[in-house]
Amino acid sequence: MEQRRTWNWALHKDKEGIVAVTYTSSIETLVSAAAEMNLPPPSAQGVCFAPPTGPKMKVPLSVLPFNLLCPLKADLRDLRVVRKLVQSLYTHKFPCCILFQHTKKRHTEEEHQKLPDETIQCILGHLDVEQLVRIAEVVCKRWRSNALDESLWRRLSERDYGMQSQGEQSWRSAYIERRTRWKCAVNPQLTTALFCGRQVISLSSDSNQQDTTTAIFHGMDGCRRQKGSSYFGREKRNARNQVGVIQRKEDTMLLPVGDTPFFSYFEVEIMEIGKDKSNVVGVGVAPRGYASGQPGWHYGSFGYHSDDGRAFYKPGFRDQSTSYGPTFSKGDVVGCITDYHRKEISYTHNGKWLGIAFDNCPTVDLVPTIGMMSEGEKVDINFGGKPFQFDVMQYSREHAPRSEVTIPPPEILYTPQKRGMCRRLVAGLRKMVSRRHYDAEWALYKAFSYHDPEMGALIYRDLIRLKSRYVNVLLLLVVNVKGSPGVVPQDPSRKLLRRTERMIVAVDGLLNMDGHELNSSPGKPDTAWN
Amino acid sequence: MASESISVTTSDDQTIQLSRKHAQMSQTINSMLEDSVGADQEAIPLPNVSSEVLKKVIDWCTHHENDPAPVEKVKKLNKKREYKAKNSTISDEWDKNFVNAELRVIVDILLAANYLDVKGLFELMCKHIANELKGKTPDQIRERFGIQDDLTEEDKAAMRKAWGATKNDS
Repeated sequence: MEQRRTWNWALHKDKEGIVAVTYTSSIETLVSAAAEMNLPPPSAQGVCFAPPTGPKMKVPLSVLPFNLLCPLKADLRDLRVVRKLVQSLYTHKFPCCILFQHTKKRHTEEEHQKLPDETIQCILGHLDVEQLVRIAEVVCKRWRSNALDESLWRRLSERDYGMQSQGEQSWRSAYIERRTRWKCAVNPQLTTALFCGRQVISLSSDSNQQDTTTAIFHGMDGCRRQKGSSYFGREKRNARNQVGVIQRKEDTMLLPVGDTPFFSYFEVEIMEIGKDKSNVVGVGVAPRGYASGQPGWHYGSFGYHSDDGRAFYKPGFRDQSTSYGPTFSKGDVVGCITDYHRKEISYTHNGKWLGIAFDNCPTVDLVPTIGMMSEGEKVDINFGGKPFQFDVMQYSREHAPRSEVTIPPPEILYTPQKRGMCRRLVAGLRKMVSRRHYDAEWALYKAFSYHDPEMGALIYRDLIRLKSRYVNVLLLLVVNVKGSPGVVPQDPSRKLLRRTERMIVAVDGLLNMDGHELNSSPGKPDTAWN
Repeated sequence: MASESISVTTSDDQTIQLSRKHAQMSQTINSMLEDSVGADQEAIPLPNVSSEVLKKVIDWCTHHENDPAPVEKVKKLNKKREYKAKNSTISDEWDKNFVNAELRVIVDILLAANYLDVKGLFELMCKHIANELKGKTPDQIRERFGIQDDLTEEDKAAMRKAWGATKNDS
């Protein structure tokens, strides 16, 4: 602090925590001001201390050489208040004196005490929630009040879960509840498994925890080995082709999105590759109790194999395999997404999404399954206990079902007499017009996947009688979804999306033009849409 | 009209010249400049910032002057990583060196960044302090930041009770 101070600002504290803010042209003004206000003379720092209340303040303002004297009950730690004052005063070039009564107790001159509350909240916002709750709240009162602050939790909720409202609870409990749901859904078990030729050993990292037994695998029973004969009467395999299968005991974990979780995810890191040449690690999902070979080899299982990078699926008696992604080996991390909503399975490789591997698959009752073939293979399985390499939050944001459109139940067989159903379909499509493309695409997909091509043809024939030029696209869609030969591939991707867009326009036009006719059409009286 | 460099007076009464570009990275100075068009002869007083700290801030501004939006950039870099890592890693090597300083200096810079309203710097400092806090017990935190434990036993008992409840729920 120096004595010469021209047009300057300063914040000062005395022992009682009384603070004066001075904004003067010179130290002489201060001295004379202090004398006239019957205050003690300014200290060596050139500061005038003045309590805002008390007899000494009963000095008429006119006596003061200052243009402005305003006692403030502001917390000086909040620099923004002061900053605003400084700004406004600077603009008006007021020589003035602002007297503060410090509303809080005097602080020790520790570093953290200088920080305003907002800043502390910013810092706390960068912490893990666990630490925020367990640690930061017990440090001291000030931190506790900051760590419990609603605006902080609101920001966190919006950032991490995109929550817009919290209902009746506080933001903090809403956040923690959402997080707990996540924690329950994603079991934080981190497990290493080693295939030692005869059996799979599970090396759980925290076996002392109670829920380990229910959480991870079938235990040793579940880590069955395949010996000799196989599951569905396939030819015998030699001993080298034994496959150790690890399955999760619980159902797949679900990541929460919106109110309903809609996909599951797990990651496998290949830590060691086997000694044999045929070291294949298959990552995928399979029905519960699947214990016969690599996922993808046998009925109902889906797998992505390390040796050739192919994706295997056996829907019936015929193997299906497609060249899917890169091969993976020691050090790579492969993740598997099961999307229950769109009925798709896709994979990630070192945090990169590889696209859809299987679509239109029965995703009910599938559990994570890993197959290992050669001795010494070691994998690290991550069910969410440690950070995923893949950004699951981003996936969930991009693929989340935004809205539910009620679809007529599939058991209603469509006949030309049941025009009402057609009307409902059209009405439903019209509802979608204003929505985002993705929703429309998905809803159509769902709507039409219930119908087989013959039924689609029936719909088509009937609609074409109504207004032929509008419904060509609809037929394409109907046929497309079921994947009839000769039409566009099954993947409900861009092609379908484009058709959908066109169809939405078309259907909307159809509805507008033929609304009357549709309404008066014969057939069963329909229940209202929805 | 506007001169290329702007002079500011720090709390220890030094006048420092800084370029207009750097000055405009601070919202506070920026708004002061807008308020006082035509009066740019005078030095802008920054009573809460010492010259030592201001020099640090200017260093940072110089290094980041070409970032279109420093906060956005950090996010983009970490896009592929795990969600939480997005907010807590300091990606820039220069920044890492920059924050490698005494706590007193860090707090001063943080305060200055808050006062001057330099978003990127403020975020960086918050991140750094949060990283320091990570993995520490309450006692360690108190020691590090010189905080006194002013919570009463009743407070703590209430907290323990609340935790027990949530644990049983989950």
